[in-house]
Amino acid sequence: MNLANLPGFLAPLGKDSEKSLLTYLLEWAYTTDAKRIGVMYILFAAVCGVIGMILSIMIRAELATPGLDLMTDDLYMTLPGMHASAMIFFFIIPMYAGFANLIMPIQCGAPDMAFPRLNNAAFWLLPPAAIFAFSSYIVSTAPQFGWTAYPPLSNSVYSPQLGADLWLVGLIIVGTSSTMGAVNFLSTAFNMRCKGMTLFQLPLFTWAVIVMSFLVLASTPVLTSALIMLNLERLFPETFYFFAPEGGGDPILYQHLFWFYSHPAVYIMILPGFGMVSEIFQTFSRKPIFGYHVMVWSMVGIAVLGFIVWAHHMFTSGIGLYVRMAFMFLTMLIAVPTGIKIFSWLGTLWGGSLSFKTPMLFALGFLAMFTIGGLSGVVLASAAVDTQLHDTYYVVAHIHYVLVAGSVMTLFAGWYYWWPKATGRMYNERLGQIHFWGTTVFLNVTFFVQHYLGVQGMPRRYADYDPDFALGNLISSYGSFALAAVQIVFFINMFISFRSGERVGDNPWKDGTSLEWTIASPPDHHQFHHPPEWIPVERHHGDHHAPAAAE
Amino acid sequence: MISKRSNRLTKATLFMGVALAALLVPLIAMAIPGTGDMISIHSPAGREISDLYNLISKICLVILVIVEVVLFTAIFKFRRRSDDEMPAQIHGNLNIEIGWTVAAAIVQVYIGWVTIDVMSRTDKMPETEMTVEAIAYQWGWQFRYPDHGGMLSDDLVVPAHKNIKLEITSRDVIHSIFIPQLGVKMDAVPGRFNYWWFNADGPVNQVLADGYERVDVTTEKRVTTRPELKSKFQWLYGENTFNGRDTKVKGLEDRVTYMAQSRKVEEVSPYAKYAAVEYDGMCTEICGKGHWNMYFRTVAMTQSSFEEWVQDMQSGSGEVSGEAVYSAKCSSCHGADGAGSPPTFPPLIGTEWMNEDKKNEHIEVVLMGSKASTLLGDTTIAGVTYTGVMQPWGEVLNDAEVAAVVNHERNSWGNSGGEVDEKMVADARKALGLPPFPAGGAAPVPDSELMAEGENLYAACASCHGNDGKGLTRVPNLAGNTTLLSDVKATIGILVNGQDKPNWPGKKTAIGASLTDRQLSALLTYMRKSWGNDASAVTPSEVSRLRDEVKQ
Repeated sequence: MNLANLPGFLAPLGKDSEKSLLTYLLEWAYTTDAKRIGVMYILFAAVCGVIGMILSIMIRAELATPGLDLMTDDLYMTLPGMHASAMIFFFIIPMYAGFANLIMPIQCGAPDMAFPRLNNAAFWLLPPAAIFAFSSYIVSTAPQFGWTAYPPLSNSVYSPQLGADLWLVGLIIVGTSSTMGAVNFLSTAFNMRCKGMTLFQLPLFTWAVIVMSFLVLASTPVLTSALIMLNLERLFPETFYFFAPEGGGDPILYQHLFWFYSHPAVYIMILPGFGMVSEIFQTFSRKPIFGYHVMVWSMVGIAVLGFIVWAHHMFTSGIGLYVRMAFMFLTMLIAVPTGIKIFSWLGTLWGGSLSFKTPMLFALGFLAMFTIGGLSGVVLASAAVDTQLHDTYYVVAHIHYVLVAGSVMTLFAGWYYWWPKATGRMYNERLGQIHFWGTTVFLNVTFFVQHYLGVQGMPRRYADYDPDFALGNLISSYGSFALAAVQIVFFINMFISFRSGERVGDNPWKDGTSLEWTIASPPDHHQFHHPPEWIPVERHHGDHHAPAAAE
Repeated sequence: MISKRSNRLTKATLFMGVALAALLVPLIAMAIPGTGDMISIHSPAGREISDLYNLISKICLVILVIVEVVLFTAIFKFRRRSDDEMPAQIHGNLNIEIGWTVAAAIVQVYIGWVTIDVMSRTDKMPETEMTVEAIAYQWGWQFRYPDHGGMLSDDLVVPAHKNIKLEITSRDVIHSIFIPQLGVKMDAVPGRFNYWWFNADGPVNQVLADGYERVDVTTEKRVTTRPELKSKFQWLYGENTFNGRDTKVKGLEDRVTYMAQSRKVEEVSPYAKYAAVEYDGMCTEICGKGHWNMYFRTVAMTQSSFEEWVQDMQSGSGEVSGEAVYSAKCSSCHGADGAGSPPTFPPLIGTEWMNEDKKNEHIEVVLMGSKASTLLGDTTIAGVTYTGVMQPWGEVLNDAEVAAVVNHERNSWGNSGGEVDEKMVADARKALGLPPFPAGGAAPVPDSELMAEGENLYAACASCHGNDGKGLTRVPNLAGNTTLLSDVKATIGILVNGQDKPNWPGKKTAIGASLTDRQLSALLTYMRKSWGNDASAVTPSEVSRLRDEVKQ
């Protein structure tokens, strides 16, 4: 490939980098262009997603049949935690950060992010963090305490391996990076909007990034400090007793701190997806979103409620009856704004003109299956029922319906949706459809049966299990192998289309209304040649005579 | 052109509808009674939870079906029929939006309400009929019975149809006790106790306690190796093993015992001889590499079987070594060779108790010590008058142990006094007016008495460990102390033998070595029940038993 032929922001900036691949790559590494940083985030997240997927395949391979067949329990116990950290901290969250970098400044009508250098620094914290975390497999043993790292199991007595320290350092760096990114997104969205773009004219994806950034800003430092406390306890075991009962600490304190971050983290991992599908439904149904203001406020509502429900992860840790009742009630309330969003999407589709391109298929698949995850969440929220389902495969099924049928489906939807914008080339529609159907079918094969396993009492993070559960586990394992195989179609599709996909114009979907569809595909280095002006959209409830959206 | 296009779209839509309908099959299957039901049906609270789950999951299923039907209707009805159609630009409808917000809120409040109703009933502990401490460690469980002299068991054996209170704690990391069929789950957190209760009222294959109907369900009595499973899963394990190694069958053999690797694989449950039913117990909180292998048996027995089991546990089922008991209890005074130490402790060689037909008198001395009828007044043997006081062992040794130690004494060092048996010991207890062993030889000491004594004794500890149980710098806290709360034996070991760790400011002296069993039990009870600690009392007889086990 000739570097000089690359279009838009992908093109080399100087003569030197046209000739030398190394100079070109260095140009990317030093870049302050949000689009390039976004692409780097996305590529990094994709690599980590593949690593996470390999770890999950190892888990399912071991669990395919009863008995410790493939590995020792020593190795197995590292897998659930490392799979979860890879997917949460190095795949889903950076992937959303990548899309936010790529799309959000353009949707605001901004030339770049508010703090371009901070943006570059935030990205470059991630690769070392990932290297720290994953190198625990090479340097020593990876941590065996799951992604939750509850002390005393995670302290230096019960997890003496160096790998645990590396993992902790990696996560602390990730937390710092997320916080830096959040500051940047907020500054951009609040200060750099173009003329005519008021807050309530912003596209919903940008709104989702704003809400997500507030969540990150308020919750991530709590996780970072909890991990630093844990690390101090590990490194100076006779000096610090935050969580160790023998020195007056309390192991439950860590759980409170951890879940104070990690429950909002679930919304950090789904709100940008909500924003993406909101955009996609509008484009492919040729209709504005149903109840724009309610959609915005329900996201804010989810975020606010998300901060006061963390103890529902601790229903069996021995907290008091009335505390459990209060947290249960608040948890159930979250279903209200989430329900509103689902109904509003249905309202958007209703009466539209639906075209079933791959992004739309993924968005529809998200809507159909995320609902399952949401409703199993309601079941789990019921504190009495949770005492039976806590730490069983029901929880595993629930979180995977939320994160795979939820976040990952929206990520694929967003990927196909903005792929022509980012590369200037169209993907292969047939391969995209195969990818969608394969993912949807095998996702359900993999995860649905886990509800049954959980209800029958199979605990999670078990290296081996009662043969009574053999059939369900076998189905789940076959499903996961097929699910992983289907992703190869996706990578082939992207590879082919990047090299030889059909070139597209500014607005390949014809119905895209936000600002990114008004500029070239791929956008030039400075995206807008003239400062853009947004023509406000009338957003009255039930107004049939709103003017057409901005050209 | 247009008709061909819409034909293709119709086909695509149909395909989509069929495919997604197929995915809904497992969902709908969940609505069929019995599939996907919870298994926590053998205890009252478990049944309430199970019923609640069924209710909530059905409500959720209805909501799900409504959402999917609307979604697929929209997909089918509003598919794009021509490229240039432009639908009405509707931005929302406030009434509809308010409507579904209120509807969603009502459903959630209802679910919350019924859950609170169930919680307020299942969480409240009914009158406790028995307390068991469940103590988790890496990787296994220990169950301590404070109502039975601190007896320890690897399996949770309880009488059926009784309200059992579980006091749950851990010795190291956080674990979680899980007995799915009884609806029990609660984290075991080091340094504190969590509580849960259950009443195993599932069918047991014998006449039940008064007031319950007779149920004969022999199938509930499960053979642990379950050979029938092997044939059931034969198709999985044929010649084509997953990775080419023929480990499957072996794995199955090991695993179907449902028991920890470290334990013996038994053909039949060790509880097969009792009228009992077994449930599986396990750990559900990640606790390290052995997390998956923390199974224990939960055995619910009829009252009579339970008493039989307690008896068996305490009488040691006939495998008592008299020599071991002698060297643990008697040799410090009477000498390993039975020579005694004149003029305090008498010899056991050649005395009348050992050699003449004074078996009952011999048993009485062991049971009652210096208070035995033959020892009242001066005890003179071969011209030497002995002044030492002998403590009564009837509280500490069970019938089999007393018989064994008596036999050992009567047949060692040249004695030839003949044999006694357990029954003679039991008869002797009866004749002396002592209660049978399991209830404890002496009247139980009230906790308040132990607490008061313990508080006085603790004054010696307070200089380092603090009056409030919070130690000086680098001195371990006793408030919320993991070892103190979860391991009576280890605590006694530390008190009796002393302990030293490099980072401690001073050495822990063997302060307990000079204390009597009664004083030690008072001190332990005080520490286990003060400064927010909420553990059970420790009886003198438990101290006596464990003290020998920790002796170095």
